[in-house]
Amino acid sequence: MHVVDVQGDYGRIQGAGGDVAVVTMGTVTETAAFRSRYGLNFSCFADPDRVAYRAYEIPLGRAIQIAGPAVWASGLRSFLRVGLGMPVGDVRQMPAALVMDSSGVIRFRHDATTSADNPSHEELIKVLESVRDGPQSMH
Amino acid sequence: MSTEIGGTAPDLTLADHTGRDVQLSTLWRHQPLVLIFVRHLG
Repeated sequence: MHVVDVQGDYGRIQGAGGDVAVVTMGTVTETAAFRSRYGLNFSCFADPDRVAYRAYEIPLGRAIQIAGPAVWASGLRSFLRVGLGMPVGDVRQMPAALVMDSSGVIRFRHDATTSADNPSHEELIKVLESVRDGPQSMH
Repeated sequence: MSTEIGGTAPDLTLADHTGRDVQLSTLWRHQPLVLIFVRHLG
């Protein structure tokens, strides 16, 4: 799930009742440049000290998770599609995605098993729809 | 405070891409929020 793909599905995510925000380990300047480079319409936040990463307990990965074979193909595909992203912050930091409802309750959490592991947008949209539609959506 | 499913998300204040401080709950208060933590800038 590169942020370019999230941007591409942003309309569907909003249609499911949700919004998107990205947290980076870059500075405000770096984060602004990142947002501009990829034409992102959602909020992006700068967390160079990884305060949010630690508060949300986003784990650090091992070498095999960050740079192992499972990552190579995905990394190459991303590079060919959108170019090379600038590494910032702790290179061991793993990615993650969470969905919070309007009460701040965490309704979904995906901690990557490798640096290339991301939840599908379909999965995120299903969660958002279930939050929007409430318990009756489960029947 | 658990950050697992069912727990309450930490309500931090972070600087957004304009440098403005934003409390995260202002984002999810009105609609569910997909919060993505990235590894690098691209």
